[in-house]
Amino acid sequence: MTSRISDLHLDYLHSILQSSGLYLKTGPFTYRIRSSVRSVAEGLHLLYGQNQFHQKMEFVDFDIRLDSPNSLRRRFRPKLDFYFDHQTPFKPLPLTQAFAFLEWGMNWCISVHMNQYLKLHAAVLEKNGRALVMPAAPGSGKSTLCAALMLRGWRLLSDEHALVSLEDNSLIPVCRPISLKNRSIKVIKQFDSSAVFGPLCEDTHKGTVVHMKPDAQSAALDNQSVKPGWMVFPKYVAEGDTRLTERIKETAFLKAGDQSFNYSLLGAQGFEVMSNLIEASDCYNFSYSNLDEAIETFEKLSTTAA
Amino acid sequence: MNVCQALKFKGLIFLWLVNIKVLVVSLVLLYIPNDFELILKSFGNETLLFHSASGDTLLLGPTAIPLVTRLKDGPLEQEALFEYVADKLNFEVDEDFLNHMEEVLSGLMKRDIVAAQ
Repeated sequence: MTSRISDLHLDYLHSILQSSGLYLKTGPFTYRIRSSVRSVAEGLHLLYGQNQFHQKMEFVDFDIRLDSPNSLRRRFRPKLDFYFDHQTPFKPLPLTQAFAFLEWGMNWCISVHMNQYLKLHAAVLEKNGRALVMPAAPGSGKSTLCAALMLRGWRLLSDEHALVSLEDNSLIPVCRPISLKNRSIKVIKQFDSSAVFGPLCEDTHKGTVVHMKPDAQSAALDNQSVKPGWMVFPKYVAEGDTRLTERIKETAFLKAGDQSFNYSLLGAQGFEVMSNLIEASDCYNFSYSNLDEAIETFEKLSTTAA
Repeated sequence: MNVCQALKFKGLIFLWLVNIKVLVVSLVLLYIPNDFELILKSFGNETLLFHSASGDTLLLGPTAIPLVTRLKDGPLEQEALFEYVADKLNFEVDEDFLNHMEEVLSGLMKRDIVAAQ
C-alpha cells in the first residue's frame, strides 16, 4: 500500500533524507533527495505532503543532495552545497536558505535538462479543460497571479515551467510549490488566509522568499496533461488598471521564444511545436494591480475556449 | 592634359564605373543556400522565418516576404528579383524602392539567409 509524504512522521522523513533519500515523483520527473538539514525535511513534509511516498524507485531523473561541505568552514559560517550527480553547480548558500535552495536547484534540474519537451519559463494553470500559459520574466507578477488563480479554483500545472509535449503539444504538469517573493508574500496572505506556506527564507539574492503549497486538486491531477487554450503575458503595474488586450500571434511567438529554455536547441522541431502551441492559443497582454479584478477577468476568459 | 580634358576623362571613368555596377548588379545571382532549413509561418498578420543554421526566428517585413518566398523557389538575378517584389506589392521601381530593397537584401545576406554568386 502506498502512503503520502504527509502520512510519515517528520522525524522518520528526516532520517530517510539523511540516509537512502526520498524518492519524490513530481509530474514526469523523479528526484532522489538527500539532506541532513531539518528545514528541508520540514519543507518537504509540509509542501509535498500530498505526493506519494516512495522509498525506492527503479529510475531517478535527478539525484540531488543538500548538505554542508565537509570543511572547517561549516563550523564558523554554516553554508550548504547543492549536489547534483555529485557535482556542485552553485556557490554555497547560508543554512537559513536551505528550502529555497532546494527548490531553486530542483528548478535548475528541469531548466537545463529534459529537452524532450519545449520548455518555457511560464506559469501554467487549467480551467475548463484548457491550459493558460503565462510566460514572463522575473518580477512581472507571474507567480502572484498564478497563486491567486490557484486559490480561486484554477488547477496549477506549474509556477515555473511550461513543458510542452513534442508529440501532441499538450502541457505536461509538474505541480510543485509556488515561489513568492517580497511584497507578493503579504499580498497573497491577505488575499487568502487559507494559503499554506513553507519555511520563510530571508536575505536571499531574490530578497525574502517563501513557497506556497499547491492545492489538493492540482496535486492529485499531476499526471494529466492539458491542451493549450490561452497564452497571456502578465505584467504587474503598480496602481494600474486591469487590462486584457489581444496580441497578434507572430509577436506572441517571439516573446514566448524569448522565455524558452531550449527553443533554439530544439531547432526546426522547436519552431514547429511553438507554432502549434501558439496556433492553439488565444494570445493576450495582461496588466494588473488588483488581484480580485484580475481573477474576474480570467474567469471571463475561461469561458472563451480557443 | 588640360583641365577640360581631365574633367572629360574623369566623366568617362565615372560613366564606365556606373555601367559596370549596373552590369554586375544585374548579373548577381541570388539564392538560398540549401544546406539549411528555412521555414516560413504566418498566423494571418505577419510572417515568421525560422533559420535552422542559426536557430534564429525573425519577423519578416512586407518586402522581405516575397523576396524570400521567391528565392525559395530557385535562384534569381538581383534586378529580376527586385522587379518581382515590386510587381507583387504593386510598387514602382524607383530609387527609393531600390535603396530599400538593397537594405533588405543586405540584412538577409548578413544573416546568411540569402547568398550571392
